[in-house]
Amino acid sequence: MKLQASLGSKLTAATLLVLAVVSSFVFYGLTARARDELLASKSKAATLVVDLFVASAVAPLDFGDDKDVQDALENLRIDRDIVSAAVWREGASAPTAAIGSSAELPDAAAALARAPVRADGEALDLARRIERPDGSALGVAVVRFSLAPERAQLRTQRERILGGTAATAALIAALILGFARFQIVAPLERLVAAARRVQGGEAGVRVETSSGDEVGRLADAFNTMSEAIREREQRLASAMSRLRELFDNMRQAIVVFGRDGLVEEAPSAQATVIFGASVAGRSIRELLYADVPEWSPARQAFEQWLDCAFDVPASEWAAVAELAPAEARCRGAGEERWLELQFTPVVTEGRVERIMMLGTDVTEQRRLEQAAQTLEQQHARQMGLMRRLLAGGGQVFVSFLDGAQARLSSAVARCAEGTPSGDALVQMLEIVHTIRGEARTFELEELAAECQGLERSLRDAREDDSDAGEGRLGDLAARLGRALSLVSAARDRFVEASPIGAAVLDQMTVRRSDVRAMGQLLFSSNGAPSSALVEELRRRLLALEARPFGECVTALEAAASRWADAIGKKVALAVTGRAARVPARVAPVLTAVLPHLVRNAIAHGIEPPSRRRGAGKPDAGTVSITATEDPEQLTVVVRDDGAGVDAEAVTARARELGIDGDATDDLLFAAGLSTARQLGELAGHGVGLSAVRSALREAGCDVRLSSSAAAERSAAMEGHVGAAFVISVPWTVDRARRHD
Amino acid sequence: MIDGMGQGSERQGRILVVDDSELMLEQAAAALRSAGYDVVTTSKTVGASRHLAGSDLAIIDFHMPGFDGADLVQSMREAMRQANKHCLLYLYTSDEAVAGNFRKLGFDGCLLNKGDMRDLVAQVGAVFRLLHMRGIAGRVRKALEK
Repeated sequence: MKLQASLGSKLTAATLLVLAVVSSFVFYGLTARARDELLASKSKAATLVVDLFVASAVAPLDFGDDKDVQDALENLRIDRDIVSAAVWREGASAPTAAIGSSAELPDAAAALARAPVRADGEALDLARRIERPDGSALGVAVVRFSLAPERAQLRTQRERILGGTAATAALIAALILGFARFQIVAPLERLVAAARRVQGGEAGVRVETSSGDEVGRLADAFNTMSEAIREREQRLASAMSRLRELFDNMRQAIVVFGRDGLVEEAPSAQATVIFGASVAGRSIRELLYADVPEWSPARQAFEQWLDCAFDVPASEWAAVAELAPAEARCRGAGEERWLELQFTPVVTEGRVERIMMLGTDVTEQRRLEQAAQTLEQQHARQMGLMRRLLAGGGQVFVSFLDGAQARLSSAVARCAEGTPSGDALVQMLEIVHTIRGEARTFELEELAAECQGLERSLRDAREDDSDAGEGRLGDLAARLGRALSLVSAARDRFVEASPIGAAVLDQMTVRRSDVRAMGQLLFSSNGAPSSALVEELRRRLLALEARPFGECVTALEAAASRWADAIGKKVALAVTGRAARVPARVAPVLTAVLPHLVRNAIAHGIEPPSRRRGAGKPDAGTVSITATEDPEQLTVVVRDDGAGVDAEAVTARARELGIDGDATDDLLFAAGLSTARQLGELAGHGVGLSAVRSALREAGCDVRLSSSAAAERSAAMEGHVGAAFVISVPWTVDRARRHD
Repeated sequence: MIDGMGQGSERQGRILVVDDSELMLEQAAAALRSAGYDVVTTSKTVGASRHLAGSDLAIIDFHMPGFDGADLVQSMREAMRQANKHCLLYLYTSDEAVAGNFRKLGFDGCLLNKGDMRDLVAQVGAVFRLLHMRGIAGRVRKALEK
């Protein structure tokens, strides 16, 4: 059992106990000594009295004078201390004389035999032999002295001794206790109080000490400990503050949330910066997906994840962490931010109790990435455009502008005549669709978008038979007008960008060798020019003005595979004779009609990959365009390795549609014929081939279906034979067959 | 280990993107391919259903000329029913008014912020996680009950 009393009380009790024992010993010792002293002096005085009496009683007793003996006894009465006395003659059994109550006195023999002081301490009995001077015995005298005065005196002395001892003991106790209090208890109490202050959180508590004893050493030890605690706490505090600083300075928001999805803690300053004030208590869903509709996949995935994240055992966490969102875009405190997210479980007894989310702000990084990406894309686009322009020369762009303007103007003119017919609508659709594709290749996105809108309006107009009338016509005319103004805006920009201004529109590329040859012809001739010279000069001049064939097919290669892809086919375009010269007047016509022929080949000639595989052909079909020059004309052959023209189908379809004609060739180029039953992206409009032939004939050229050309083996086609269209372009209009 | 978990990262899916803008398709394909998906794109609605076989997710532009996104979805559903294949059809738009109606238009879900490729990748990632988690949620519960 632990004693609850204080050290002071224990010390006091122990001191008092020891002092009490010591004091009582001292007291009894002193009392005994006082009594012995009193008895000794009494005995001395009494012996003197008795000796005198014995001396005075010798003679009377020797003479037998009992009266004198009695008188001598009576004289003893003077001494008040003598209670009784008796004298025995030698050998007598009764006293010869006596005073006081002699009966209480012991007889002579007994008196002589025992100690003078009676056991009860009440009286002192002295016995003396009475002898003659010769030493013979006369008798015995016994005197009893009262010890009452001594007893009274002893009582007084005892009281004095008691008082003195008690006072001394009290003084010593006071001294000892005072010393103990001063030296032990008080310093210990100070230590206890100081320890309590340390316990209460006070730092750097010290206890003053001057002594070198155990208590002093204890105080020193306490001071050292207190200092150590203070230093450790300081280190801890500075570590904490560094940690807090780290939390505050890092660009990471730390958020801890529980099973209910509510944030319990957000110990970093960044959490407030990103999610706004008072993060604690808010839902983690709201923090991350506040602006996102509930059905958005990102939010749904997170909800689902939250559902199972707390249910899996902690050992399975790695698998769960993989399914957590890696990033989120949130708009917490106004600004939109990209956060990279990491989730860490807070595990208690193998269960996920809470989840800590570490959100790193990567907004700036994303912005930089995006800017770099945009720059890269822009660069790639510009490079692509440059490459295309370089490949075709500025003239390609000029011819596109010219062609687009002419075709759009013709469409505007058709609108001005009144609501266009179905056929007219189809032709306008073709025009607009082609311009849209070409505009894209020149990065004229605005024009492409306008054309897209136009296409939609035209399709609507074609599909909707009910005569919506003026409103639709007005809309079409307005859109066409806008497209026209976009074309001229592009022309203006092109002129503006050109170092030679508007002259760029009139610029052309010539070969040095041609110019040199012409100069030689002119300067070497003497006299009037012969007709042969004029003819040669004319031929040369035409050649100078001619465009390289490659310009006419610049945009085709990329477009062909796109067209094919759109209808689930695969095609490669092979162009040969890019350097062949095309008369200037024919170049734009050729540029305009070649896409139609290629599209026709893709739509009707090339079979779908499955059917090609069945026929033992490669999946990808080939369309080849070959240009060859000879003195008479330029010949362009558009050939495919498809199934060829189904002559029977063409004839049957022509009959069905009431189109007259015998030769397959003529029927193919007849207006309104298409073997495609359904209107597709590429074919089925029945305008393509007839438009191609009329455009070419207008320019003094012609086109026909050629079985012999188709039969020519081509390396690119690995011997597979399809259809071939042959375009013949005479060098001079005069030599061309006129069909109009 | 609970079956089917922990394979999320290596199991990327095949995605079909239908849009009339070539530029958009190029960007989307580049972004999604670099995120590890197998991507098929087409700018034409005709025959788009062909590409559905083997695709896990189709991302469809709603506003295409001459063709209604809703019609496309209908024809795709029909094609899937006939081929007995399943592919998620997601609308891709920046128009929030249209986005909210995705169910009515016949889509399984909707991806927002059209044109933001980074966000597209994040959203597609969420779709695949969702797909994956729906599959394993039941298994997790069963494993827990055991």
